[in-house]
Amino acid sequence: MSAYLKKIETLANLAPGSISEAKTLEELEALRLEYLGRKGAVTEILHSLAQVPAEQRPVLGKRANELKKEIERLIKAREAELENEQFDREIARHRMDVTLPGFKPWIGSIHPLNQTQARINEIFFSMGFSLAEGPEVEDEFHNFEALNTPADHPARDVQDTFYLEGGLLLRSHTSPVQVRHMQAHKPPVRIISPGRVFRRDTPDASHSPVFHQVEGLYVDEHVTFGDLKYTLEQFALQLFGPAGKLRFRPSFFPFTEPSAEVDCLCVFCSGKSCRVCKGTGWLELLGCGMVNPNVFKAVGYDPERWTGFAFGLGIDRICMLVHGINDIRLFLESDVNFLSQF
Amino acid sequence: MNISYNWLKSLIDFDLAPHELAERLTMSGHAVEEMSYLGEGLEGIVVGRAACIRPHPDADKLKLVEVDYGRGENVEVVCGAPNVKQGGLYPLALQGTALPGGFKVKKTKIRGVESCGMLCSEAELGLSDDAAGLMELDSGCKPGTPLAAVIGRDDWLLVLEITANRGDMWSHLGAARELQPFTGRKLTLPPSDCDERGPEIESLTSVKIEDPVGCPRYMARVILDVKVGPSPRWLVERLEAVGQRSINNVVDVTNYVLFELGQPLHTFDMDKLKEKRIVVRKAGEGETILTLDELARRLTAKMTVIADARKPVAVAGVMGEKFSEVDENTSRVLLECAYFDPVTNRRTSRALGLFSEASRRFERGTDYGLMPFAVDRAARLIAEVSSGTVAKGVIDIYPSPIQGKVVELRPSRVKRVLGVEFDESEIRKWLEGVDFRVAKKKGGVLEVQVPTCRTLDVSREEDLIEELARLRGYDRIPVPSRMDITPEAGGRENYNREMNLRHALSGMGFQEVMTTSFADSQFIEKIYGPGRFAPMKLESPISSDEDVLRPSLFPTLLACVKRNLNQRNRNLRLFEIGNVFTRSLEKREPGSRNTWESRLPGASVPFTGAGPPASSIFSRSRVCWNRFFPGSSSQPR
Repeated sequence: MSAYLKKIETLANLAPGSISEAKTLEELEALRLEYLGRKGAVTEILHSLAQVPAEQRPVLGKRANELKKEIERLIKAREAELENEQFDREIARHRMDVTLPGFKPWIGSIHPLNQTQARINEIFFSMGFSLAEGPEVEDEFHNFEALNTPADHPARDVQDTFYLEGGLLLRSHTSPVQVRHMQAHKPPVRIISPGRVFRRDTPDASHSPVFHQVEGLYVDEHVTFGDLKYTLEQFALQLFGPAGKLRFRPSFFPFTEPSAEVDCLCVFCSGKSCRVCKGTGWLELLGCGMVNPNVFKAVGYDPERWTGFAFGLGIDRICMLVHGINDIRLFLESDVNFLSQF
Repeated sequence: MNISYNWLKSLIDFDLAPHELAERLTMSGHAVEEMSYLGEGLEGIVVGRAACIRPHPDADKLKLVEVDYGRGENVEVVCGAPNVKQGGLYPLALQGTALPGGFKVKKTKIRGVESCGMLCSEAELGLSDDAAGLMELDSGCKPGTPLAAVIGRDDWLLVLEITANRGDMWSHLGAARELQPFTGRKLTLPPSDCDERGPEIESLTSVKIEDPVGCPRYMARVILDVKVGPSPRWLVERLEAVGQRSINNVVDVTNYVLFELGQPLHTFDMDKLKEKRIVVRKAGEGETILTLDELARRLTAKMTVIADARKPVAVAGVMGEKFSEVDENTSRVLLECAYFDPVTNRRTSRALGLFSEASRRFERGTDYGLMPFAVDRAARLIAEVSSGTVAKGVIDIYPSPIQGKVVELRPSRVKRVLGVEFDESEIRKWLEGVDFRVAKKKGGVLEVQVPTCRTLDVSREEDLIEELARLRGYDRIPVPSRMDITPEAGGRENYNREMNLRHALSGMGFQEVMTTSFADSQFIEKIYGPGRFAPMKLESPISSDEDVLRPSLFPTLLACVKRNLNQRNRNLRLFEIGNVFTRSLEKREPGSRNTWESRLPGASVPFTGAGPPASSIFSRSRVCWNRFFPGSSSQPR
């Protein structure tokens, strides 16, 4: 064996071991220079090929090139390994504890009454109702007279309504919004009117002089009492889920006829009878009825052509039922400890 | 309206247990607010007869009483009551019985002798304050009968909520009429025929109506030789069952008939009436009267009064006068049975601040058609309970009889409103069941005659449709399986904007609050200085610190901050979206304006904290106003 070939084979034996033993990228770089640098061992072998006898040159040249390629490959592979190891070490050094309690931004909340109102609104929007608003300071015509409540009706007692100087008053229900809407729009009409209302009640756990209502009105050519029942039953199912059963019983309101008081299955005992429902299994939920023809006359609708239904429900009351709140006064007391629970 | 189950049952036969009756009434529009068993606490107490009385061997004041309580063998009880007599009938509580006061009767030795029960006083049974001796029962009571049954307490009280349109429901008769269509039977009116053994009424008194608007009809009867005194037991028990106190036999009859028939009555001591006659007239302006509640009332010329030849003796349909009332010396009674105009009556009692069982009924409209029956019924009962004699004849002044109402009903309209067909036989069943009369006209239209008790309530087709729906039952009006929906567009812009603001502000750490719309005018002046706002004043505020409508959200928000700081709630970031009211803006027109405000109170948040959130909110709500000026106002807007 020629000395030249011996050099090649010695190098071929040594190189893989030394490369795999390189511990750092720096050591590896030193090895690369040692073998492949301008004065490196492999470079030198390739340079000295010229001194080899011409007939051996093709064989030895090929072998030397193979060696070079092999060493290059090994270095590259080791380089990748070392880089990975270094990356892992870096990661290990900078590991983040994602469970550390960080800075906690405070998020406020929307008032429970407005959350409830939004929920009620969304249900009626989904049934095709639009929204109408009106002023809280009203006059007698819109709050009473147009609603078939003449001057000597008990609902007009001074103790029930807040009067303002100059004969104006604070609306005692949101029905005047319906009157204003009908005066401004021809049928068909399908609206809800949420808002704040006022009655001269002495405040206690279930009464507040300031409370909130959503009223609904649907007027068209073929609206029936059956449609009213359908609409409110669907509403109750959406609001309370499958337990949302309703009971309609006859009642009296000046602006509707027939009128109904609607009870829902007691949400506290599921109708079994408890203290809240006074043993009846039912809780009063809302009032409703077919629009009284006198109301249609007052707004200029033809009562022979149009029929309609109206309903009104207390947002405060529904909010209390849904959340099990036992005192209506909490809503306007504005204690953030109470409000932030919702 | 207080209804006694037994009383109602005496007017109409029905097969409903008390709770079924309550359900029936509730579902036809007369919600039962409360119901209670009147014998509550008297369970286990029976009638006992003192069969044999012996002295107690070791105590002078005690006796040993062998009591027969209908079981064959007697019990021996130790008794200290002074009024126990052989053969007397008394309430017996056997051992194990809990008395209404909570005391439990046990077998005990009293001075060495075993007592196996207890004879009771009214006080011990919670029936009255009378603790002087044993409660004495009527001789007709059978030993062993439950006490509740003997004293009229085996009964149920139902408290009905009567809607404003149903004046006719303020009586047992009204409730009985409502049950007719369900039982298929007619109610039975109680007896009313009078044994008129006295002289002609015209020879005794006269009635003149000078105010036929305030009093369209006035009837009177006279009962002579009455002996005013305590009422018989049945009358006291009936009145007590509906929560009324017994006064005397004559007055009790008028209250009884009021609760039975809904017709308020009044009795005068005829000999106290000047010239012994009645004049129904308008009061003179400033005329005064001392009413039965012993308050002097100043009357106005708009009020109707019942007067004698000289002065008012009753505020018509509201309350009688003290001097002419029936007392223990009365022997001749003038019984008034009238129909007073509901509106006049209502205005009078409001103006006087005086409300009575009578005014409650007159202002809702009484049954002028029932008056002849009611006056006879009451005269008969007064004569019966006071051993009086009814004078011959009745005075009935009725210058222009009230026209009965006839309303047309189209079955096609019933279907249009209710969504379901009612055939003629069903219409008749319900309407005739509650005493309407139905006649057929051409074209399928029905002509419905309204009973006199419903004149005020029923005057239009819709009223009849309501009757049909109500009596069939709202639960039997079918619900469609679906409804066509044509969504209405628009109307939600404001609401959406407000909800967006709420989400944005709460996301930024603000808590939404809602405060009252009322504010304190003095506080507003204190923070803004006088004259900055002209807040709208309430005519009669509930309290002096809520005397105006808020002209801005700031004062109520500030109060809200104070309340929270008192609760030691720190780091407050609050906002409110709500209406404010100012006179200058509204020019006395109805209206309110929506505004929102937020507060960053407390020293812990620097003032500069307000700028960035406000800027974000303005850009979020697309308000093109994003510069802040230093202002002199204490209120950043």
